[in-house]
Amino acid sequence: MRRTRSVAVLALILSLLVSLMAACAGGSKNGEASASADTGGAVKGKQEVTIVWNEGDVSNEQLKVLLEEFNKKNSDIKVNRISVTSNGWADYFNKIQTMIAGGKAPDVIRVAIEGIQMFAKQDLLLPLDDYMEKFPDALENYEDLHPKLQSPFVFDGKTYGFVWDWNNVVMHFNTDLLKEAGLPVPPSDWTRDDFLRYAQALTTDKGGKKTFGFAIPNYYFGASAWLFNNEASVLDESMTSSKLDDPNAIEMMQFFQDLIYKYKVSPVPNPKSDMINDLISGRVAMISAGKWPFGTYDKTKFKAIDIQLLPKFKTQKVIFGSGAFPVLKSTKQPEAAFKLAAFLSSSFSQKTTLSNFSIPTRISVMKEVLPKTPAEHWQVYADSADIAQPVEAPMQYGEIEGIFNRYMSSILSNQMDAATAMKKAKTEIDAALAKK
Amino acid sequence: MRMRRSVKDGFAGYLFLFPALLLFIVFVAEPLVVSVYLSFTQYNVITPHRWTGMDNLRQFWHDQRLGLMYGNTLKYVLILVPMHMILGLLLALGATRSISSRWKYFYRTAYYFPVLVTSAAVAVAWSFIYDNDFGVLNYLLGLLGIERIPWLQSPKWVYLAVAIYSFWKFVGNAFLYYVIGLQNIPRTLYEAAEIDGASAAQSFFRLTLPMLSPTIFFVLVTTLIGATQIFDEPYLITGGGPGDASRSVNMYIYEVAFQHHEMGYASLVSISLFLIILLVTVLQFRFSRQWVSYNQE
Repeated sequence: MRRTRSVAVLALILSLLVSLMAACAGGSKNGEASASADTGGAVKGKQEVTIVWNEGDVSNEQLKVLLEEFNKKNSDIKVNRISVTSNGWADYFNKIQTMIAGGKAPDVIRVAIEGIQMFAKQDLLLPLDDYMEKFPDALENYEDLHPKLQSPFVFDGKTYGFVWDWNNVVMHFNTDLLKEAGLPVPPSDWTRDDFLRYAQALTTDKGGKKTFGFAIPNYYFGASAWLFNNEASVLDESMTSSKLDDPNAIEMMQFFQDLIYKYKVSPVPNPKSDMINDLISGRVAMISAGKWPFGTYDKTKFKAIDIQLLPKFKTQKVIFGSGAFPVLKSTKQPEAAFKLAAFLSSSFSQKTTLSNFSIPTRISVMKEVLPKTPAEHWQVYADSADIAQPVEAPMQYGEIEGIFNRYMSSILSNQMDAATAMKKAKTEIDAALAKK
Repeated sequence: MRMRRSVKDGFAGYLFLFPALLLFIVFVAEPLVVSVYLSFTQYNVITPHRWTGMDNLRQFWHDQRLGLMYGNTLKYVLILVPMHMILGLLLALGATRSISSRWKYFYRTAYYFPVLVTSAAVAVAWSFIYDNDFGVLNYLLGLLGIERIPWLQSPKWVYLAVAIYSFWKFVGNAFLYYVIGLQNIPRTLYEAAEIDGASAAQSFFRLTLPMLSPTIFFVLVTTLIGATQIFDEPYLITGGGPGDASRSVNMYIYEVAFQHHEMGYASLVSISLFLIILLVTVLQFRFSRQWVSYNQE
């Protein structure tokens, strides 16, 4: 009797152990993507759709306003938001991939150009063309989406998203410091020599308060913009090989190093540098960034700001990155997810959510919103959309960004000359691109 | 009757062991076994894993960056372990001296408080302190007529920068263990030594250190494991830079797993680190018999 009871208790313990381990293992087998019931199932006649969209992009209040508008036409769709804290795009995409692998795949995700290839090439995204035909009213005037900014989300003849926001890289000036130096905001066709003259004139040391002329962008997107202007780039056109050993690329990176150690017009970048606050506090006079600093300018009531295109080196281009809301293939509610993705590119959505940090992608909304930018040369943002070229972001973006940033830190800390660093970076990037 | 009672006691023992065993299996044993398996595969989380045999091992032998990371980690071990052990002991000795209780409480709180603060938040503050051009530290050095130090931009200085932060943030752990160990040494032994005419140095070397040896051994084992697995400090303060100068093996594992999406290779590197830590810990236990005294009589 006792023995029977012992065996029964042992069996109970074992079954508990097995069921707990099974619960920990999750529902996904061999890492295959699958949507879980709690994120994709229909609840009491309502379709539930989960979107990954950070609170940094859209506040709870903004989201509430958006969803009230969305539910006017789609009262049968309930939207849940997941906010993911991340350290840059690569980290953000990685967390979404982990959610997918863990069997908790969302339905709609906020994805920038940096990640669209990564998700699409792994066959994780749902082509939206059929749904565009089936629900033509769900998508507001497609032609109004700037074609150049929309183009990264259309490839192999399929549409994977409707562009919502974009950003470029332009020069931001602390106009108080310009006035002190007796300099006007330069014209749009200013050159390398003009830039250096400005940086030198703006570098001062008054009563122990040091001001540097320019803060070097020590990250992939920011540095790529400068490479573009020297007829260089991280990758070739087909994004199958690195071009960092090109003399133009080496020249640009050497110029960055010289700004710190030869001309002494730039501070040595700190891994945690906050260039926007450095500009506001007058520690630097010029930074190159997109529209995103205007959020901080607004919060800190900083008004002494103007912008201009980056200086011309061998050429003058503008980089851009844009973002959209692709639908994951694993969704159990593809129609509802499509309707949400389409709605989020609408004029209402862009006007509600895009004021300071990004630029709207609808031509009509750009015309309405951009003139409100508190900078005299706000037109630079509007004009650059037509001439901008996308940031290079192949499937291996995360790895390539890491390699580039690592060698850039060696250059900027004067541990390696630009030629050596860029040749080594090319070798590593080529190896990363060769991986399947 | 005796037999039945023994079986019953054994069963009760297993029941008490069950929660800990369950946690161990789920969070330690099972991931370890899976890691060993994954290290023979190619796996990017999204697509199903593929058996690649010895490919990862071949990559391991030819990975020049990994050698650099192990070298960096060794430097961390050589700097951080003695620093935490010796300075932690000195702080504990200071805080357990014959001073008023109020001061004792103050010192204990002050030394342990940084351990409780969120690493990521204070690391941002520390990176501003270390800033080459606008940092407080270089400003103060400037007042003393000392040239600016490239704390985060020089492979030579970056270890000192990480070490100072690590000391400020984590020395409270070693400090706490030492304080507990020192409090457990009976006062009567010191009184007897004093009556016998022992000097302060003799009391320390012939009484305090031997009596504290189990605590010292515990601090040594945990600090050495912690330093070998270092991640937070360089990740938050230096980002591994400049270049790879301050990147540890654990940071590299993170990079390979989550930036390169090579879970198989990352598993192999993890296992190599695990085996090294295991070997060092086994050696520590073996040699501990020669200097650790558990006889406190």
